[in-house]
Amino acid sequence: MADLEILDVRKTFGDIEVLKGIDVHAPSGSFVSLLGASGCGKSTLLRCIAGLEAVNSGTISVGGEDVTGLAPEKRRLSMMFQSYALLPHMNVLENVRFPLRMRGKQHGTKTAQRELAVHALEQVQMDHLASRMPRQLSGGQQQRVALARAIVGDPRLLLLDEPLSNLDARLREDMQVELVSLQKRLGLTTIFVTHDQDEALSMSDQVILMRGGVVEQAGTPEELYARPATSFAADFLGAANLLSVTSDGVRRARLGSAVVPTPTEFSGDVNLMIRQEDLKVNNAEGLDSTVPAVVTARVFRGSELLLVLDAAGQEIRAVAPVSTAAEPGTEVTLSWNSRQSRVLAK
Amino acid sequence: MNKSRTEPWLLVLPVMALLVIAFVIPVASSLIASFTSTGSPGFTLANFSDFFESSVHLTASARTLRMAFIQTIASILIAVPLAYIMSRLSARARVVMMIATILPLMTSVVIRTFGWVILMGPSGPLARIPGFLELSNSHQGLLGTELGVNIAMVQVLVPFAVLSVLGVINGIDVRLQEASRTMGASFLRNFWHVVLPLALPGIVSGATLCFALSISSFITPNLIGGAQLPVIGAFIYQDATVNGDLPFAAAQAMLMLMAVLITIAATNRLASSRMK
Amino acid sequence: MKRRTALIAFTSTAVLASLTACMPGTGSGSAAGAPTELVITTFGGDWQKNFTDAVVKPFEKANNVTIKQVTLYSADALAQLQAQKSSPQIDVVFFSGGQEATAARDKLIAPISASSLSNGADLIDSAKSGLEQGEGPVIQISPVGLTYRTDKIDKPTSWNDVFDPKYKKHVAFTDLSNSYGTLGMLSINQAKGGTADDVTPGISAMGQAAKAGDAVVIKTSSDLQQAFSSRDIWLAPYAQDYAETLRKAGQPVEFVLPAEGSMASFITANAVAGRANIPLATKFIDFALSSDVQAKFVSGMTYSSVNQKTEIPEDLKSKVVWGSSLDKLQRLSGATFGEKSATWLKQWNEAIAQ
Repeated sequence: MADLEILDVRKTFGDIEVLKGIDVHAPSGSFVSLLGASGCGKSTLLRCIAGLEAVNSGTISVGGEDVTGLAPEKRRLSMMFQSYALLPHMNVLENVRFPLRMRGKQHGTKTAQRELAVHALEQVQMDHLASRMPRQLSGGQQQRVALARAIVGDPRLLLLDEPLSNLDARLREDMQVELVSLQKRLGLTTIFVTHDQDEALSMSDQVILMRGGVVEQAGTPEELYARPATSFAADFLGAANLLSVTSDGVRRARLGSAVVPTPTEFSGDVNLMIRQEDLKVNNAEGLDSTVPAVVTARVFRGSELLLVLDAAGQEIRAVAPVSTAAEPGTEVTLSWNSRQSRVLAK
Repeated sequence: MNKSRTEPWLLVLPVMALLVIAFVIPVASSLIASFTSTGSPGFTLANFSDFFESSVHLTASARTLRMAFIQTIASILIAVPLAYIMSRLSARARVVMMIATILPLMTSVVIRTFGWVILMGPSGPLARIPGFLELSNSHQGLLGTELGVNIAMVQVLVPFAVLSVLGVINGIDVRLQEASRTMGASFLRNFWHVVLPLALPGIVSGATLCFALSISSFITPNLIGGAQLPVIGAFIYQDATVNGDLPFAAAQAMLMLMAVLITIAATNRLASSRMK
Repeated sequence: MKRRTALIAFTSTAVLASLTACMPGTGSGSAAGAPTELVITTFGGDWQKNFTDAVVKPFEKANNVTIKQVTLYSADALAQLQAQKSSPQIDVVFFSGGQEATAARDKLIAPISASSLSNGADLIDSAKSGLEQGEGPVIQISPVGLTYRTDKIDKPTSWNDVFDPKYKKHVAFTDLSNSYGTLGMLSINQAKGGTADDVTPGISAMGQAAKAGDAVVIKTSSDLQQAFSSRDIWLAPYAQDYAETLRKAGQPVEFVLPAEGSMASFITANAVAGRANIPLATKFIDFALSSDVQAKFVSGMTYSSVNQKTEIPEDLKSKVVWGSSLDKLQRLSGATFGEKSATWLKQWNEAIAQ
């Protein structure tokens, strides 16, 4: 168990700067997600931590030890790959024992190593398949084996590269829960790379949102969701409406013909962020902001409706109770509490 | 007739035809010829008994097999690390290495071997090394020695070994190696525990190819080893062209083919038991 | 490839030849009308070049004859004659490996009497020794002797010099898969007291030298050139004409006929039996025996002359065997070679292989 400290890490591939000065701190035992779209640098950063890529500048420290220049095998951390990367010529037990074998003496005799490996397999309920070959396992089973291999022998850091993305939706939810509980039980400092904001929000102690090789925003899931610092963060984390508004005086914004209050002062053209679930349709009770809108589409989601509306030429999405009368073409009013909206630079 | 079942057969037809014309028929006629005699009609085992009674032929067979084993092992030992390094290079550097590896195949074996003759002989640069010429009892350096033949043959064989090993190594998921590195395997241990076992099919096919090429070669052994280190290929050539004794040449060719087939069967068995 | 083109050339000339044979007015009378045609074999390469200049062109000019050359090596030529026995397509055939003995025995070639040759009286005995058995006369001789580096050793005199301790590690023997290798072995064998029936004295001495590393064994004539140029070889039994090839390649070598005498390669010219124009073929062969033509073989190919009247240029007198020395050359009969060569080769392989 150790903390991870990344200071001003830069990395270029040829002429392209992929990481443009990244700072991350993951406290010991925490679950930290690197979240972002593909190409944002999150996977490269993980590979730099693992030692699979050399950084151009900056430092990476694990448990206070500078590992920046160390070969991957000397960093004493473990990484789980999206493809699981189980060694096809070894059975499940040998796969899980492999890191112990490679790290050598500190893990004792062959028998001791096997006991540790079996223990790790027990943690993921795979001990009964210890003698199978990887190709005889299902995708979900392979993943559990890969997880067992990643946690065996107390790595200082557990690096997970989109480990859940190859699973179907149901299995994936189960694994999210199981992975977090395992991580908490073992107290493993975990760095988790994902492009899925739900996954990042639901599993992490801390989310690091990346964009174009820089950290866009870092914080707890709650902080990021409730108080996105930028339009990008607002859009990426959860379904948010970003309405283009112009200044209409102190804490007031003009949206088409309507004027609405804003939580903060601003000037010029900005985005006003309102979460879908904060909008009310034809119900302004206790709310200080209202605009007229026309329903353009209605999507039934079982427990609720998703409405797509047009307000002064801008598209707005809102969730409403199933009982709401909102056939396409219906004129409605949309209301919200200005304290739940945020003014964000464009 | 079901069209979808006949079409695949139509596709392999040219290959099958070529195989029959260029392999099955000649081998079958050699097999038949090996049981005949130029002098007398009817079938006979005389060619085989002559072979096993001739100490020269038995010595040459032992030499041929011994050198083929040594050359195969040496070629693989060189080719596997080379192929591994090539697989890890950038695309551009790999092309350069590839050309450098294949280029020797573009020149005739005879030309290349003459190069070795000069290099290994008394007027070559190596002859200045004290004691080098005494490597052969005729003071010809490496000429007329099995070591000399082995060196020249390995140079011939390595490209074939590299190509077959590289094909398999390139197919190994690079993430397996990255995973192994993050799990604490050093460069060399990763090579030993991950790359090598996964490259085994390529190593086996490369070794088989080298062995078959080596056992049937006679140009290089002739030019470097000379008449005093005869290999079976040289005897086959001699008996077929100089003595005009095709049945005896055919019998030797059949024995050589058997040696190759046994080796292939043995290595495949060994490899499949290792890979299970 | 060479052989295939030769076959194609052969087939087309054969067709041509049969066509002309059907035409009226052709035949032995060559005084007027369309030129008569002779089909002859050739060994190709430099040999063909020299032969064309020395024999073919002058003969064509003088006799209003067209001569077609077909590349066929001795063994292949014999096979062709046997296959075409009922309707031969070749007029003159050359043999270098003693095949004339078989051809004469099987009546594939027409006997030529010495008296029918204008040059018959001038021929050395060994050139006409086969005529009585129905073989054609010898037109070219390449003796086997010792080729040596003049800058390294003194002129050798005996076959036994190849075993001289002074030359250890600097001697090259030629493998018996090569015909000059066989002739060299037989020459050494004779010097050691052996005969064609008993080659043990020669082979065991050569085998011992080879196994001890005192001599190397090369397989082909190009190996021999390599041996002299880059393997530090000073002395080798080989053919007279090849010594000239080595000299042209820049090697400081000379050829010497050892005192014991030696075997030589004899090339015979034979008129094919059953052809329409045997007199013309004989005339052609006779022409090749003339001293003028023989002089061109000597100067162009460094062969020894079979005609005693041939003028040997001064500068070649040290390079070719001539005059009374020709008596020291022996001919290996094709019959003996055919009968013994496999046994010799076997014994040889056992003696030299390590």
